[in-house]
Amino acid sequence: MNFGNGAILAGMALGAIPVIIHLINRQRAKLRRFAAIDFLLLSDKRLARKLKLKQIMVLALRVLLLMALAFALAKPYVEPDLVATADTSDPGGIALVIDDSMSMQTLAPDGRTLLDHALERARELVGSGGSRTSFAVIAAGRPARLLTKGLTYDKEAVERALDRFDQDAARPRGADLAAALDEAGRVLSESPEPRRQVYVIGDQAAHAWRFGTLPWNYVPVSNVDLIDVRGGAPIDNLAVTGVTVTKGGPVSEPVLEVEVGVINYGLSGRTAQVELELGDKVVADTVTAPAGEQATVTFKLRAPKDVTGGSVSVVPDALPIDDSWVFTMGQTHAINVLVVNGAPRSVPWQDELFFLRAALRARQVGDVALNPMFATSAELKPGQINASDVVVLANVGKLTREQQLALHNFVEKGGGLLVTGGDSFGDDANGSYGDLLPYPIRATKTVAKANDPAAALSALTVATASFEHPVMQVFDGIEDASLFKAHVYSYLLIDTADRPGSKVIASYTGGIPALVEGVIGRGRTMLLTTTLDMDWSDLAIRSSFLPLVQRACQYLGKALDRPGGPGHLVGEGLHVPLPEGVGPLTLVRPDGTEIPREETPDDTAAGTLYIEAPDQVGQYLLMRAGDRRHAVHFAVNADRAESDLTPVTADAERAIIAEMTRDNGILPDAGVAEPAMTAAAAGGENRNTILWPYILAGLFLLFGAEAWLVVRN
Amino acid sequence: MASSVPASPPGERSLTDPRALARLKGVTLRARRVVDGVLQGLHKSPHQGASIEFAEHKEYAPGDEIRHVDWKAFARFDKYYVKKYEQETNLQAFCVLDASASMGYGADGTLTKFEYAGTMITTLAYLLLRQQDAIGLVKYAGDVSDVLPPRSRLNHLNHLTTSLETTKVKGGTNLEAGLNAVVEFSRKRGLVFVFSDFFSDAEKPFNMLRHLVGRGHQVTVFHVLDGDELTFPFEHMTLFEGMESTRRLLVEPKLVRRAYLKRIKEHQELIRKRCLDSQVAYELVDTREEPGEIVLRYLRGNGPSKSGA
Repeated sequence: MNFGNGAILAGMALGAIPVIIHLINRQRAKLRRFAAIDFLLLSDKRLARKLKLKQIMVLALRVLLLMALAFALAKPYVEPDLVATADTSDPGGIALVIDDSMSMQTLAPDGRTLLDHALERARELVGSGGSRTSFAVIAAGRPARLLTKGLTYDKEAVERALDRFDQDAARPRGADLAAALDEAGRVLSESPEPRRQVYVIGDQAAHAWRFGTLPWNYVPVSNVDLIDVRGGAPIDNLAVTGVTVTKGGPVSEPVLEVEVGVINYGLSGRTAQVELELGDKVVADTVTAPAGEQATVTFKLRAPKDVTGGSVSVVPDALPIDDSWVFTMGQTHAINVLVVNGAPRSVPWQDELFFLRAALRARQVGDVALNPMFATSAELKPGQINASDVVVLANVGKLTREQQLALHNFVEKGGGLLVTGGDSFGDDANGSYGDLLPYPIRATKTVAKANDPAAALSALTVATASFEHPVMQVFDGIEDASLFKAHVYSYLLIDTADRPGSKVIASYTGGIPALVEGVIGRGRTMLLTTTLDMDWSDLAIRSSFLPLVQRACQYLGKALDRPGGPGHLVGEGLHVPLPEGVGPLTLVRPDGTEIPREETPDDTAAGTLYIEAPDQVGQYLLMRAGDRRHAVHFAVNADRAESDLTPVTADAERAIIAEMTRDNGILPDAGVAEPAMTAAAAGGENRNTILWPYILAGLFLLFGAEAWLVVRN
Repeated sequence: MASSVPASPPGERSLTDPRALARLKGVTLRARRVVDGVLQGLHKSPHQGASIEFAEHKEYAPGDEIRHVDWKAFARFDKYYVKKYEQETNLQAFCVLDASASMGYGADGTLTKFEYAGTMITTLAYLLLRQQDAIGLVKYAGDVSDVLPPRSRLNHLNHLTTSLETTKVKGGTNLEAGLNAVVEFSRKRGLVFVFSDFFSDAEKPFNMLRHLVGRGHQVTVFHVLDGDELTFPFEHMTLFEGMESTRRLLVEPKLVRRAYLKRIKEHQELIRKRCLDSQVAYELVDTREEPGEIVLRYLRGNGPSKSGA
């Protein structure tokens, strides 16, 4: 038996209080000679014994009462037998949350995948369930799915749901335990039985348990049991995290520079051979990656003709799916940037976008390419917005209601919005933009005239920046970066009163905000308080201008977020440029299946087609009327977040479950106090038996018995 | 019982209240104060109590007392008639007093049961001697400790009070021995007053009491119990110790009160029933009552008849 608050056990000494009081009273008892003592002693000895017994019982009950109170407050529980088979025969509702994310494709020593072990364990639980036990099966791979029709007593239906895992196993999913647990809670809330239990069966990898926000604080769940199908043992894993292809050399004989990233999630450093396959060419090199770190290896080779893409691989290990990376030669993961010109000019160098146009088109080695599209504010349509990854509103002082709503929905769904200042902004800008601006604009301020020879003396400069921010990271450590030398003559003064999610990234002299960021739903917004041309500042002619705007667009397009490097991931939607020509569109998947796609007028206007959640790793092809020559190629890889197989620590597990069960008001400490929670091997379980509620109930009975005895006397 | 005890008005205490009497030294003083109250009560009472009464006339014969000739009858009938009286001799009474250790109990600040009984005996003795009746005293504990044969002289009261004041209660109870002494010393039928708490065998003494009744004695039992014994008013943890034994009991009084009161009530009822069955008058003496009240109640209700039977 263990205790949640063992220190409180010392309080059991309180049980001595009634005895001490009794002894003191005995000492203080007044001696009285009494003639009728025979009637007091009760000549009937049976009655005398009964009285004495009653006195002892009252004393014992009081002692027990105090000791039991301290015992209950110490929160006792009984450790489970780790090798005991789970008892699911009691009536109740059980949610089987099975992790079918990519990491569950890891091979166990017996050659079967962890998912196979998880399904076997789930089948055992279902088999041991009684006729009054209902089950629900929930897959924890993204998106989390309920595979049964809620809780069901039909074991055949549960078996069919488990069989579906085998059919879906090929798709490499990320883990979404938060959503799966949320679903489990919802399903269990429909259970008529008081016992509601959740089994989370998986590899219990740390990455799966990193929730942004914890789910199901409303769920009335009796217990959460974690079953680690790999027995808590760490598994070494090497993964290819990304490939960047750069073309160089003469056009007649281009040279490819292929940079490959490899990460080592093992406990010790590893040297591995990396193979690059490009058409019929195969080249190899070795890479040494220290434990827990990433290393890169670069291949330089002549580009083979008519090769659209290739792959990189390392020697297969326990998790084969992340040992290779497919890529395409063309621009396959560019961020579509829609730039809206709020102040177009007929003279090119006076145009608002003169400098930005050049900056976005420039391509830097190793960076995510940007695919800029241009429009004026009058031409801006919702269809164009939805076809983009990032929208830049350059000196657009006012939006129509339709545009504002379209932009709001766009950002809320994950899009990025960059707003830059200019003289188009008036008093009605705040109302027009609504919550699209990270902070509301108060006024336009001018500190100097751009053409004034003395302007440099009174102009503002960027004085401080948050170098932890992905946009500013490139300037970290560069003391003489031109960003901090640019002169700003006018700016939009904003009100930085508290707004959830908004923050200042860079400031001018005197703490005046220069670049700020906000959040709407899944998307981000940024506001640059000066212009992108030469009207309000000379930032556009500084060398820092290009990395600033490019990284801002990449950040807003979430290209800087991906731990596995640039590229499209399984399960994530993407916009693919439409191939040239006319005719019906066909999507060819890596396994060769062809899927006809319809092209809407919006797609035509935007020049892209949205592909929803591709589910296979490999090269895809989008072609018109069977014309493969002019087809657009793109590659999709698995999310490398699943490559880290480090098991979650017992402390982290405890903290998470404690947090999850604390607010449900049923059993605040369910399964929390067990120190070796993750030690439960496959075939075992770790359900604690909480004792203190029963002790408390007994305490009430003791109290009632004591009161009854005293009153009866 | 407790509920029948008349309470004195607030701020006014009778001079014969047991607590007031307890402050007086000596049974004589106490008895005198009680007697005064009893006499006032008797004056108002229709029952005159014991006195020599006229029974019938008889025709004069030589040898009859000339002083008993009824001259009024001679004037009417021209014959000599002599008055005949029912009792020609003095009344004889015996007080049998329990002097065992248990009679030494008294609630704080009041008379012990022995002192209380002594006050009642002195009061009765004064009343009887006042009308030339004889009264004797038998004291007993484990055995008979003192016997004063009945005398009708007034200075006999001094002997009685001296005997009561010099007695120290001790030992167990043997009422049978006390009653045997009465049989031994009584030469004719009379009154027998028994004062005891009867904290002993409740069966044996009644055989003797029935024997006394059979011999023509008019027997009255005064069952003397202290207020504490009737109500058990104790509160805190108390170590009780017997007065006629070394038995001890440490107990929370409230835990045993109900059982005790039930048993003491049963005991009292048993004594009363045995008395009635044996044609013995029974009077409960609650030491919280004024002694005079009890004497008056006895005299008004179960007072002795002239025949003594």
